[in-house]
Amino acid sequence: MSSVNIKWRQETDKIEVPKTAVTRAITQGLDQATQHQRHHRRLGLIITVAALLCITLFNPLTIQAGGVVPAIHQLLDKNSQKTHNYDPTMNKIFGDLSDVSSYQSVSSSTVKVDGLKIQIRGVMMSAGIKAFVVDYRGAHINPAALRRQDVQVTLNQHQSVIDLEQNYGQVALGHYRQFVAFYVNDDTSPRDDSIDIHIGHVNGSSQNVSLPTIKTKALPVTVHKITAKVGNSTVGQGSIDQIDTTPHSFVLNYSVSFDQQKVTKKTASLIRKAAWVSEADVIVNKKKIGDLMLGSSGTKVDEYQKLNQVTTKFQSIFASQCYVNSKGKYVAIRSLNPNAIVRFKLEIPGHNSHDRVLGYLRVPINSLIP
Amino acid sequence: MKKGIELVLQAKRGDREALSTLLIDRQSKMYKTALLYVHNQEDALDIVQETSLQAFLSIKHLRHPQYFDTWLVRILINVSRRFYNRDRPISEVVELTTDCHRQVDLHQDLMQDLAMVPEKYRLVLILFYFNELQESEIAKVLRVPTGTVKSRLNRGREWLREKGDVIREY
Repeated sequence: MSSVNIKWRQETDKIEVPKTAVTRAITQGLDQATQHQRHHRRLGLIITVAALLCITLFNPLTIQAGGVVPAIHQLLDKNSQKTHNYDPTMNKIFGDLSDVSSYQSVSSSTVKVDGLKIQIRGVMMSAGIKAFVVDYRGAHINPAALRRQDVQVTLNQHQSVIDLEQNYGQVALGHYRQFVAFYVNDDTSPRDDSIDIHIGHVNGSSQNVSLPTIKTKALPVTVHKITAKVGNSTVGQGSIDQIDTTPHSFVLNYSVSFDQQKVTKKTASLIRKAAWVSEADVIVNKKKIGDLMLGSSGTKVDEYQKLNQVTTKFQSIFASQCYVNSKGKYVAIRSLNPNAIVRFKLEIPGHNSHDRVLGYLRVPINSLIP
Repeated sequence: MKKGIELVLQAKRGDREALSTLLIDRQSKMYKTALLYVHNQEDALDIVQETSLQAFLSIKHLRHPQYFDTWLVRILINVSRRFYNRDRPISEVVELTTDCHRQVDLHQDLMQDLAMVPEKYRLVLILFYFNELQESEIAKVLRVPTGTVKSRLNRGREWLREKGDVIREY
């Protein structure tokens, strides 16, 4: 042990300072700050441009006698209870109106029905999901009747509509806006597409109307080919074949195959009927940190047979959002640890109404990002 | 002093060179405070870098230019805390500058003792003894009452007396 009087100033002076390294650290810090500031300015500019674009596209504010009436800020807003069939995944994908990356404007003529002018304003698209916006203008709009309208959507012959959801909101006096969103299967064809909309019981009347066909441009999709496999020849084999990604969502293409001579007739019949990938855990360093947000699961898209080998193809749709347990909120998957692994749970129907886990398919998280 | 305040005002207006001059003038103090806190040269340099970044981004919010030093130490301490709270093993402190063995041993013992003092006591000891701040100034930096600073100083000294290798009336 040492026992002396301590002269603090002297002790402080004895600490050697690597001045060149410290000066460099200061300069680097200031350089980073300058870049950071530039990035924020650029981001601010982008947000301003996006907001202005939204204002132009959606006409969100209208001044009238009663004051300023804001437009709907979210497509499917649970808190303001604009729809009874709220789908949080659709809201996550399309809910942010300031993000116009998935928006396509359309030029559509106005249809007049029973004193009401109806016009399609735009379309939003992301992998496995679409939405469109319709405006209603007229003196006698009944919001409750708008909600009860029958909306039927037909896509081109290669696609089917799953889980159609609607939402309405008032933009101004005599001006209502309708949002219709739905999941679609087989969404990766590179061709342009079309949407036909038929509305029954318009504004509570007995009239039906077909709106002009919307022509949409092909969705830019990044395709990741995957070779993850589970299972064996006696119970069937599952695999992920391909993942179609866009910035806000992705479509998981998976298949289950079996040898007709090696599985029972009952098992073959069950697998032919359905196979689901509904759960996707995100794992970092062998620890689950959260799970992905499911949109739609287990849509059968194809089936083919080669000798005794039967292959059934399915799709699931997920939002590109992960619920991170430690944060208690959803975050975009592109901001997660790039070394994260996603573990998809593949289930098939069981014999006694309990689903059976065929296995877990693992893919790196970057396979889900365009 | 007047020149210093003028530089702070220029830095507040976004003059990078003015802030750079202010930081380089204080580089020894920044580095030593960071080093005493984290006891790792590499981390200390990272702390200085991050502090410079934060200072540049937030200097426009500094309301009283005369408190620039207090404000800078506060940023440095906050950044140091973040670095310290990452799970890292404490590395041994080697800061030898003199050839006198006894003095070297004392300095080394003192640095090692300081590294072992619990964080909240260590912080006030660093600011009080090494940065020569008064208790009231430390209270401003840490945003705690002066009484809390006094009690932490006492507990820190007590810890060094009882558990440290250097015996001395602190």
